Amino acid sequence: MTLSHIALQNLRRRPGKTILLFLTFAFIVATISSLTILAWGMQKQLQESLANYGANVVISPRAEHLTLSYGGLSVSGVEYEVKKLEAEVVEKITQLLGKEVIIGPKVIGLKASPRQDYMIIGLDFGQELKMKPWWTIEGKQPEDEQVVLGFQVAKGLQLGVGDTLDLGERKLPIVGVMAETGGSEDQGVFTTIKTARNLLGIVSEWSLIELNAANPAQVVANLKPELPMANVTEVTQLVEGAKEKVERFNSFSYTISWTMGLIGALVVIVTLAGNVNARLRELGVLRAIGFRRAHILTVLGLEAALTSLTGSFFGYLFGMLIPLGLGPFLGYKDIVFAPQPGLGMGLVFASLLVGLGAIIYPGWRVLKMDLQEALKYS
Amino acid sequence: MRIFQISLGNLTRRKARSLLLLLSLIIGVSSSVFLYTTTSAMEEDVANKLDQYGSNLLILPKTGETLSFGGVTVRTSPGEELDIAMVEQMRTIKNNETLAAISPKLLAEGQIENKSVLLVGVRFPEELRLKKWWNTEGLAKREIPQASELVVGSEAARVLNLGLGQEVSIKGENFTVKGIIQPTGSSEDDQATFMDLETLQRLEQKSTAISLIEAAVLCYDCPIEDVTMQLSEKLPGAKVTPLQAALVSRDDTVKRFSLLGSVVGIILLATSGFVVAMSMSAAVKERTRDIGVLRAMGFRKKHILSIFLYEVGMISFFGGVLGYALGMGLAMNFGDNLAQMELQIPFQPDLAGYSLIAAVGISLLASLYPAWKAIKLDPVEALRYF
Repeated sequence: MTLSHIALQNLRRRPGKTILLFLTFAFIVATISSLTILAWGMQKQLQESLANYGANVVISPRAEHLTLSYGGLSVSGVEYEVKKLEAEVVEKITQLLGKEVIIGPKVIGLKASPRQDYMIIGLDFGQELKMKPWWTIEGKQPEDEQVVLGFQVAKGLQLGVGDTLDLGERKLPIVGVMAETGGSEDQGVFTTIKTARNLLGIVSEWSLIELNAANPAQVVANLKPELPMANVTEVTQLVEGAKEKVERFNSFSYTISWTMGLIGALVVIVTLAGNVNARLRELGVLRAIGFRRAHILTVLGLEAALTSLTGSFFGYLFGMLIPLGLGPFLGYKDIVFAPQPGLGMGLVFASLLVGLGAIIYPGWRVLKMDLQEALKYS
Repeated sequence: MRIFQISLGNLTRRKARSLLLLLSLIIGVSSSVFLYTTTSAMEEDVANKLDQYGSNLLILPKTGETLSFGGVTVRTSPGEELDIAMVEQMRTIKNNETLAAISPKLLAEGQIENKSVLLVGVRFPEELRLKKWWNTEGLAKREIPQASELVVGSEAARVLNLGLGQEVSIKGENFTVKGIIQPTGSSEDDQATFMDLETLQRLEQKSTAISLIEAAVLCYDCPIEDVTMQLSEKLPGAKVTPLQAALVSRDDTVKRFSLLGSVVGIILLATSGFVVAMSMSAAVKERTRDIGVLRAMGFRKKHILSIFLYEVGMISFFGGVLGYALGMGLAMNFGDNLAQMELQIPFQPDLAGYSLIAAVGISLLASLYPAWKAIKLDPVEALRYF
């Protein structure tokens, strides 16, 4: 009979205690791994949803004069001729960037009418709503020869869905009103690009192109040399803001994982120490029949290694299944079973270390103990 | 000898065993308390930080809106002016603790190198706190420009041909270009020239005038609609509008934080409950032999049960109290370091009640079943148990 036999037999002889230890390891590892996987999933989701949020690249015509307005206020009555982007810019961008980038070209201009002047904004609502989830339209999206009013315009005119907007020679039906956003949208009259071109007499040019790209820095670098006559800029408020949010989430989940790991290690140490403590007498017997200290430590170490390895391995397997079951309740639909071998190996290895570390103190006590004392212990 | 004394004697006789049980209870309770308080404080901290990332509330004069979209201005009209006293007025609302940053601005037209420019008078400390995404060349981190210095947007610098350190004259006074803001993609930041508010007010001879106020409102505890309403009441001459673009994204992020926080809470409660239950039931099972002895001596089932009831009750009560104290103390003293945040974690006495109920409840449930099973055994059987 070798030392490993003794260790194995010890485990088999007390199935209750062995199972308890095994379950402790399994439970803690399952908790940590499922939590980590969930946090990773949530972080990825957050990153994706932030990347899709808002126009993060803006292409505007380059002008040699400066805009004199800020936050919807302006300081000068002087109006400059508004510069435009050439018509082929949009095709060029589409060719260069492919389908993943949302492209929102716009035609913007002033339409004078007897009652008041309107800012007409022609855009593709399908594309625009994809990148601006904070736009909510009461009613429906406009088709050709229909308009949607910005909140302030509708409030000022006291018009709603079903009324018509008088634009002088044309009267267009109002099919929707946008909810208040606090931004410049509130002052606009929205319609399709075709209708806006008709109303404003802008034949083929664009006023502004807003893009949403997964990698805005890359897009800006690609487009800049191709469009020398335009300003291509990243919207740093959005891009930096998204980075900051993801970073915060990351450190939040890291803090949680580390704390959980620490707590788990403590629980394991206490349980294992208790287990060895209860066996002082038996270990005293082993000493008495001539086992050397190294032998006893080997037996204890083998037991701890066996339980921690098997427990953490099964815990890890179980922990990968938990997110599958829990995911739908947390609002994920697309959770896929993904083995995270790095995480699994790390956890199993950490458990082994903690398990072996946990027997140091009780092991030391056994070795220090007087044999007579040990045998008296009950 | 009374039953209670037997329980007490049992606990003191097996000091190591009792201590270990107490320890696992303390670990379970304190880790739950610690993580719960820390994560909820972190959630609030993050929400507050996000709210201070740019403004989420705009205060404008009631009339004189310019028609412009994405930097394309199609019609302008001179706006009315607000008064700087409004800033103090804002601080008198009921939820004034939610106003994290208030940045009043005066807009004016100026001439630099014979070109019209938009001069924006700001209080630089407030403005730089709001515009965290500004990457300003020439301005070190946390450096605040002087009254005689300008910070110029990238487009303005390009059109006016300005470089760092250059002297320019505005309305008869000389200013130095201190910083150039790298392109931000927002026409407001890129095209404007920023300077000290008081200086611009003096130059314009409008000592109390401002054009608009940008504010960051912390809306973790108090919805922005409430703050908007309170501000509108205090500022009848102005239009107060929350910026949906900032708020929707923030809500989305904070929602994910609280989701992760509650998942952690639930999982942790389950784990610590499980650990406590396991060690309790193991401790009781070990004493099946003792139970046999007591039964053989003629103790009644209910006596034995009450011995265990007292023992487990005492241990779990102390474990709960100590665990709560440890967890709360750790969270209050070290939680903010661990989470790297500036928020203090408040003392939460109501958690003590919950921790006690959970600790005692779970322990009793987990120990009484094995105790009951042992009691029902034939004493002879129980004595043979090893």
